Amino acid sequence: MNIRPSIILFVSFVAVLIALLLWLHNKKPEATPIAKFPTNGIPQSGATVVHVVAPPATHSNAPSTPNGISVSPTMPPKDQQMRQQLSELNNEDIVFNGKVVDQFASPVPGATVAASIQVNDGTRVGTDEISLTTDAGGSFKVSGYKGKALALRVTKPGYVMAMANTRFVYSLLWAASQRYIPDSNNPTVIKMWKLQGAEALVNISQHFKIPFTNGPISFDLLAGKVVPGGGDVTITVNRPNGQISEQDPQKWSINLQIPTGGFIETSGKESAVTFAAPDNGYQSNGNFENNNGPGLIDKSFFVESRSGQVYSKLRLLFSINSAPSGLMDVSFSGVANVKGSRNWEATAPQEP
Amino acid sequence: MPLVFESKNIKTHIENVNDGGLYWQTTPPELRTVGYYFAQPNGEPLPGDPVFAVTNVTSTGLIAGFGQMSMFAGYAEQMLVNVPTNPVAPYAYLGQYFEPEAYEVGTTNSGGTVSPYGEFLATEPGPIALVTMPNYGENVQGTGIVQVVKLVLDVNHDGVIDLSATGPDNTTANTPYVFWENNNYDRNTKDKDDGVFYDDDVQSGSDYFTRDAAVPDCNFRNGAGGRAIPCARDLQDFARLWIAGMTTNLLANLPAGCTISLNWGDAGYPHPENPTIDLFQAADSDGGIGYLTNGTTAQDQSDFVISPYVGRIGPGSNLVLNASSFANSWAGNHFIWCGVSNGSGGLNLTIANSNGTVLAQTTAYIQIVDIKQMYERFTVGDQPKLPPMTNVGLSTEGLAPGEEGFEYPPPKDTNTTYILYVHGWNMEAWEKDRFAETAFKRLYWQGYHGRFGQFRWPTDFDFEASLIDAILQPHNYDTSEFKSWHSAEGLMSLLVGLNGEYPGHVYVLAHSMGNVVTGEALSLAAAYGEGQIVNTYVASQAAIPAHVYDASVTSPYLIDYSHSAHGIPAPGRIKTPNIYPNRLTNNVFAVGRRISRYNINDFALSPDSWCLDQALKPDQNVALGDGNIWDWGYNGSTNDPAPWNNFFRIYVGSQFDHSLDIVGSVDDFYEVLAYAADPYSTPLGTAPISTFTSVDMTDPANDIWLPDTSGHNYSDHLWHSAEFRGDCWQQWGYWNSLLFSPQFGFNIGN
Repeated sequence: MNIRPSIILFVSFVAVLIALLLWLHNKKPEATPIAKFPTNGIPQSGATVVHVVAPPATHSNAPSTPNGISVSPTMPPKDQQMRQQLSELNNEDIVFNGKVVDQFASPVPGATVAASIQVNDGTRVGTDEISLTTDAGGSFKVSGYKGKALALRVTKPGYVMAMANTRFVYSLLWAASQRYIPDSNNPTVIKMWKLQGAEALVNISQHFKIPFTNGPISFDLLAGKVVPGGGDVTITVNRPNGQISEQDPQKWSINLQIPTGGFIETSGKESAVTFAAPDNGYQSNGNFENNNGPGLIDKSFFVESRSGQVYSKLRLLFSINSAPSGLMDVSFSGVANVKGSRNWEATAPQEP
Repeated sequence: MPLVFESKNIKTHIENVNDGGLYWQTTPPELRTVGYYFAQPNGEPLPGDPVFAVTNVTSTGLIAGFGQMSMFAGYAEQMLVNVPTNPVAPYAYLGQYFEPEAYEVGTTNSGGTVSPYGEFLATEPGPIALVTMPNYGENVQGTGIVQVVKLVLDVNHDGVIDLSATGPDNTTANTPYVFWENNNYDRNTKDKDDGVFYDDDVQSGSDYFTRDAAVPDCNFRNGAGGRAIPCARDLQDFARLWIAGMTTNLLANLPAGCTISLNWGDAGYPHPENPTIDLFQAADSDGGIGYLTNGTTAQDQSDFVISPYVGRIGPGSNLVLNASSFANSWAGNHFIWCGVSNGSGGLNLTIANSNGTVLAQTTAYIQIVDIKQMYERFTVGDQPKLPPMTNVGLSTEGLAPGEEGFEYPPPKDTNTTYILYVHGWNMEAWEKDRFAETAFKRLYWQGYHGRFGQFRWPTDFDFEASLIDAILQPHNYDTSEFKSWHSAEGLMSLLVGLNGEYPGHVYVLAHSMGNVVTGEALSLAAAYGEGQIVNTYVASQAAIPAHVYDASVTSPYLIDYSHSAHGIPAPGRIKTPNIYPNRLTNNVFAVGRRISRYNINDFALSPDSWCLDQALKPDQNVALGDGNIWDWGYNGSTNDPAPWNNFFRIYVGSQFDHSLDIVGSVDDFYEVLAYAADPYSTPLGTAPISTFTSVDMTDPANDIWLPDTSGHNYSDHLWHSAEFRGDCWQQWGYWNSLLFSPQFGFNIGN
């Protein structure tokens, strides 16, 4: 039977039209189209974007057998695979031998230890909560539980926690460097700070916009000024020519110098649980490369300045100018004990 | 004004003293001003009134309403000085004209304008001095103190209530204060994954984990049946209202029987277009914003004993504030209030005497709207069973039938800012809105004056299950990931359009898997040569491999289960080549600054959640609901060089695979990313990288999150989307730094 091509074309067209109408009919309107954001004017890539919810159930016309691949309907579904992994790798024995000590290395007896065993074993997600009390030697032990991690919160009147992280991961799904390995012979020390009495501190919150210079820039952090020399902190910028931005990343650095003292690099988290300036370990100067994106140096320090008269916990944010003619943005924040004392207890969290 | 004298002793009026007909042979009286008497003609008696007595003194309860005309009369109290002995004062009252300027007491600042005849228009609340003109032949002036009261709102929501007449916190009938209806469901609820209780915005109706969800917050009642604030989270749906200028002294000296009330000017005659609002006493003694910023204040504010309910003001109603039911018979000068029903009207504060005569009135204009009419909701679809559209539409979900999705008018200037929020995975349509609305509200309370919108895409969801249960469903997570890549084209077109309207001022906040959509959208824009279409992109808790932006990411930010003796990836599958590194680095050309807010202990992005799901790619034995069971795989070796075009898909039971062309087909590439290719790095949301400004949200130095006092170190589920959960005060730092921080946020000034 001969059928005219035009008839075939017409029938095909009607079939497509019906399919389209059916699809449109079934599609629940959920949005009003807006004219101001058409896609018509947007250039298209060479690849055709065909939107599908699930991969289409079509197969290659050129059958092939995957090399070394065993496709079997007996393979457990992915959710079962995940649950199996969780039950095998995320469900470890939680054993923790702890010893709570203060800044004098003295044991802290009678402290309350709230322990949360975090669980995600493929069948249960949640926490098991227990409460313990340290013995006369400041020791405590958690055992008899299974889970992925142990989180501790230790409290005692007159003390505050002096550790940034009291969560210990046992799960084998975490990298080895992040996992906690219990050692029954060496209890893990939990540091607390025995409050001695807070001293008044000076808040530092200063923000400078400075034109680029390759000479030293000195800052008096107490007066909040750039000074010709001396001061608490001196910064010298090493900047290449040209634009510095996310689109034009370049290496740049600063040199940090404490004219009559020194600094110890730390982290914001450590700084938050440090309530006295360290006795030693200060260095008078050091170089720092941009460490946070192309344009920013973000560092925390303990600073001894003015020949030991000022001890500060300092956070430095140094944003380089994107164009050499632009302004650099420098901010200092933190606290300072200006009485020659190392005491920063005023930054300790308030006891409930 | 007629000249009126009153004799203290004779008690008769002597009028027309200048007509020369009376006492013409008598020495004219010589009068000298010895004091002043001020009164409100419609309130206190005036000289000449039958009830006036010469013992009357000026009331300390003279009162006027800000912005509305009030009438005052001033009299010079005069005495006869040309009497032989023992002059008695006062002897007569001489009506006064007023100087045109009124002053704030104790200053030279203007407090309003006055006509010579005493018509006073107050422009400042508080004690205002009305000054009389000097009498002929005398160089003295009287000063009457009027207490001006004002209803005032923080119209520009900058945290400061400006009382001035020309400041930003004034309203008119044409420019009312627009605020949203408190029609959501903020409750203290229990997290399904870790059992932690916190405040959240829950769905209406019953939910296993939800308590007291039956009525929206604006009608919530406590166990005793009293109107109450359900939890501190609900406070972000409350604005402030002050009665400025109302002092204890003034209250004590108002005429007996005075009422002070709030209404829409339709008391007893309800006008249906007026809104309804509910008032609570403010916990902050100074009426400040502590209820939004401070935990203790927020707790006090949501305690109905400490901060009791004052009442409801709706069409036709009248709320008396000096009723005996309030402590000291006064509801207070500082309130917080929420919208109960939509409408627009002038809220009148009316002080009336016992006869109902209005002594003073002042008005603040308020409009209550559904919050869905305050921000734009763009969508490429919200039904998981349908593919994302390439055309962006405005969502009408949740609106009345026939109502169109909200759309801003064209911006008035080219400096108008626009923040677009892109949601993550596992969100029903209502939940997408609640997150967006939380962002809108929290930016609003930071004083953000720009525009805001959300971009919705058809993520799957399984709200009834816990997050872990949901993530264990590959048809849910990986299929959503597939759709997230596909939704990028729609987002790109939206961003191009927005940048056309707000050139250089488009900012994007993407959460979790929303960063797949956003990252790819910006990458497409860069590939298409659109130029910079976004000023700043903040990736928050991003669920996308860190390698797509930084190939140098290394341990401990690698998905590395090699230490395990167990089979990861799944038995029978090789680890696929790493096709992710620098996949999206090109999007730097579509955005000025890129910031990643990360949490290394994020619950959803952790090694036992997101990473495990990714490590088990290529997916096997996945039921997608199309009747087939699907497998994906890689037909080659782990160490193959690029372009790794050896991925395939097959349905179980078939002997034939279907090659996926990741070089020539975007569709196939998206499919491989979602179902087949192993990422080698942990997600951006847990890893600092060198190409973004990376911000550790858990670092106290960044002032983004408050300390996690549980000791769990931000590993609870809450923290994966904490900025949208909990209370406003708890997340104040996140939104403040997002908006203002030059390094870690949008750096948008007010």
